[in-house]
Amino acid sequence: MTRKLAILALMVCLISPLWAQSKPATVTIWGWRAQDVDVWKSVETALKGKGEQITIKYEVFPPTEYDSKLLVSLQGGVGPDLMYTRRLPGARTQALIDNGYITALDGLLNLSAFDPVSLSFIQANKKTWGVPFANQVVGIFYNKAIFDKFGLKEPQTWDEMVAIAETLSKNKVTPFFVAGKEAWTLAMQNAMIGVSYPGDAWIGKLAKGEAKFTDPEYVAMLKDLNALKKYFQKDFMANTTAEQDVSFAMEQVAMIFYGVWGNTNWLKTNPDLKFDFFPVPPKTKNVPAKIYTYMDGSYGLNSATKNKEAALKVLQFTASKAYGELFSKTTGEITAVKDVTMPASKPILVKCYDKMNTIASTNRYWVGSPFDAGMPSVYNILQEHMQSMYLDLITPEELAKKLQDGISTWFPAFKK
Amino acid sequence: MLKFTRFQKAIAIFFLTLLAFINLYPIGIMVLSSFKSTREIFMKPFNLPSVWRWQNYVSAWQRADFAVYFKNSILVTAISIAAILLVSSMAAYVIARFDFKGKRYIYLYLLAGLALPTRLAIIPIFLLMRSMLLLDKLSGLVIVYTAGGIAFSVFLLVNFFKKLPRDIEDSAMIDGAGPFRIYWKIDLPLLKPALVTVAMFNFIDVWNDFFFPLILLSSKAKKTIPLGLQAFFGEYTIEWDVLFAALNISVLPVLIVFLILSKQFIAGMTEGALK
Amino acid sequence: MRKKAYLLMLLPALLLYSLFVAYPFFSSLGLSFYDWPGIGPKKFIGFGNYRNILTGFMAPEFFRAAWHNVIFFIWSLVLSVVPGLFFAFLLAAGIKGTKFLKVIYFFPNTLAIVIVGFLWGLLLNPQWGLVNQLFKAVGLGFLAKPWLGDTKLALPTIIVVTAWRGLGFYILVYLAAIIGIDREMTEAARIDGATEMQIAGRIILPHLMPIIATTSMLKFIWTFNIFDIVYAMEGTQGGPAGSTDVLGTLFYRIAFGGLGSSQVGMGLGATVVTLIFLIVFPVSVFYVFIIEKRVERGE
Repeated sequence: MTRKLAILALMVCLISPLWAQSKPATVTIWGWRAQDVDVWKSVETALKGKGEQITIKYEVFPPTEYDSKLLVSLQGGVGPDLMYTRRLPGARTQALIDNGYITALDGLLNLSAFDPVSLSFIQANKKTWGVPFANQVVGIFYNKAIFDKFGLKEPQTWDEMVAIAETLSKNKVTPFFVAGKEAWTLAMQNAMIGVSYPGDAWIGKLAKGEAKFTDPEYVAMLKDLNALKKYFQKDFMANTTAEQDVSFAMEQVAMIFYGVWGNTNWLKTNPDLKFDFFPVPPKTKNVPAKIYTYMDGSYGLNSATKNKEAALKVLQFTASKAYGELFSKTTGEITAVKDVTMPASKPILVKCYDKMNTIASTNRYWVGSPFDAGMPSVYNILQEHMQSMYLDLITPEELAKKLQDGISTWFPAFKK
Repeated sequence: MLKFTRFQKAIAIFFLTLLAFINLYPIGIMVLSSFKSTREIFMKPFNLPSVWRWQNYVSAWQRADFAVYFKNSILVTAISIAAILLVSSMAAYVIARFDFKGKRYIYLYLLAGLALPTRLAIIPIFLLMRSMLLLDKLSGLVIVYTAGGIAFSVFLLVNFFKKLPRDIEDSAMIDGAGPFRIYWKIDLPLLKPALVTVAMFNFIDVWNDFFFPLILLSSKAKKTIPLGLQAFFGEYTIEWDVLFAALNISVLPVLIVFLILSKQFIAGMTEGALK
Repeated sequence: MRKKAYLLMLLPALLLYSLFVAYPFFSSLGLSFYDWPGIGPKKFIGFGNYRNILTGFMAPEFFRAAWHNVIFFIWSLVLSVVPGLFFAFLLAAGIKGTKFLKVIYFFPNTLAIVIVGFLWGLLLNPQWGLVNQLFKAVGLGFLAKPWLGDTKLALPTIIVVTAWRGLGFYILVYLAAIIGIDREMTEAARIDGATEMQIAGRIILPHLMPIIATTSMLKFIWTFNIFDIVYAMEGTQGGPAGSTDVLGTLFYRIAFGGLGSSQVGMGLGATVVTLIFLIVFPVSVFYVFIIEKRVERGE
């Protein structure tokens, strides 16, 4: 029955664009992603092609100020129709939900184009609060030309990676570039290593309160990581991600710990750059190598919108395969829509998308994890104290203890 | 005044030139960088550009709506400063020239504004603006800036007013001129350098502010330069050639205004902006 | 009644200021007694926020930040008064080109702090920044440091950059005071056989004390509200490892949270601002009374 109806509806749409045309509407969207400007232009064109007279006004605000801007405006009743929201669990989006500023989309939209994991990042109280737009993959990106020059292969274990770094540094090539001045990159580095070493399963136990940050497995990882810093560029604590991106793009450095979103900038700076990706290798081959993936954010519907009908049409389009392809092609990032073919012109996306579907870690302790839901979060602690560890102000053991103590103050599984 | 020997003069000139160099060099780098490619900026940051790439400016201008930003920024800044000067100089005149009960407290109350971080008060300000229907309007910005500039401007202007000789005023008073007339016809013209000084300080703050436009404005057509620049930074994080060009475009008006007014401004400072 | 007509001229300033500066501020201060994430219902908790900050879990961060403000104040005072006086004295000798130099010295003041931070970030880059290249070029390679990435160097570096931007202001203010000194006094001393050094030290300097006091107080007020330069050079975290965290960045982090999904607390943020205000306001009061006294004495 539904199928017949759907076919009927489709036919109606196809043969009668004239009377299927809705009345013109303008949908405002606010976000923090400047790279999406062209995406929304294409969405508008695509919708017009379907006979929808919808104009999209996309306003970008600086990522650091976006949340205050949104919060103030929503309380003043002058928010946008659609808004970018951060992933869950997270205090900001939770506050929007708790105070009724965004509407649950269940029943309003068909969200079958997403897999349950992507959706889980924007679900709370058993409802879905947004349409996910991107999945991020973080791990190690390396310069292929440099690896080939010294006959190096992607490492399978931590020690192989250290050996590679040693070879490179003997040949006067900087093995790693780390943007130590931007504390969040150090937190991310710690987290992406964690999923392979001590590993996915260990983090699973951690979430249940059956393991502790002070366990020997985790402390051993911190020690190895701290020992790795001799292969980072000199004075790495004073460098930024912009400098990292340029150095990597200009082939000044062999490897970086980063996310797949960086590829757009690298290729913009140096279109000839040949680079590839590998997951952080585990300490021993007994533990599988995993990658840290997370849903980046979603589009939420303002409960107070006056353009609900048009806004839902835009949202429904962003929940389609066509949108997924458009998004990945335009931004060079991985869409959150499932089973999308990544553009062949961007091999790194093909590779990362494949890894995401095969070896993504199921447990994590950085963004998009239960450890990020309270104060102080793992993220907060790592931001400050990864720097402290690298600066030898605290030992790896002390960092582990700070994590354990900080999380124990609120994390339910640690409290009992 | 000090009298230097030749030798001392030579040393003085050395140090003075050194400071001038330290002040100008980073700014020179900013100008030079805007003509280079991103690669050059990073790899040879202190060389002259191998080719002078004027197209950086063209693409910065084209990619951001600088013409619109300029119009908005100039409008907001000019009106705000005129309003600040008028409102603050009247208040400063009264505080400097008359004695009345509670004067000290009023002065103190205004000066307290020097110590307030405006960012925290943003939510009440926002709600106020909304109830006055001034959101997403440049006039809303003008009001916030005018109010925000009062504390420092009154603080500076009171000092200037106190320095003016009173005898001209007194004779005018005898001739029957009211306080406003004296303020407008006699004191203000004498205070021109002081007003320029106060205008310059406010100009720097208002022109460069990006927090209030961010919160109070939302449509593209209303954006001011710092806000536009911030968005630009977000979009072209790694295209430093265009970024530097955009930076220079935003600095240029300040430079021009400063150079035009510098004589009066320095005169105002030299007459003793601070006491 | 007509006599008090001049009070009308105070009105516009008072109205605007009260409505758009004082009222929003005091209504925000009220927030410091509430638990409020910036959205939704507010929960009254009395002095709970103050307890958390002064003795509770925020105390270490708060006092560390406040201490950084103190260091910032002391050093930026030294770095503005000493070179400020030095260059003002040099300019007072009336060397050719002084006018031009004054313009150059003040120019950095006109740059937005965000731009200053961006520019100096580039100059201080450890690998290819000018500062380190300069040290290496003159054989002082051991002085080439990761300026913004070292817990001991980062705060002093930011202080120096702040001084770079602000020095011209102090030079001009001090120069004005020197020029304002009665010529007869210096001439008389000169006739009595005083050296130029003595004139500068014994006659001019004491006369500059009031203006030095004024600038110090302004500096104090400004330093305790400092935010932009740290934000531009080290981000909201005040890194590395919190070594440049000041009250301004602490407030910003608590009230607005910066990037990502972290918890924010407007009430807690308001408490930090109230505390800043309580530190700074007495100094403003003190200042007004000093000025009034000075005016009464006819200086």
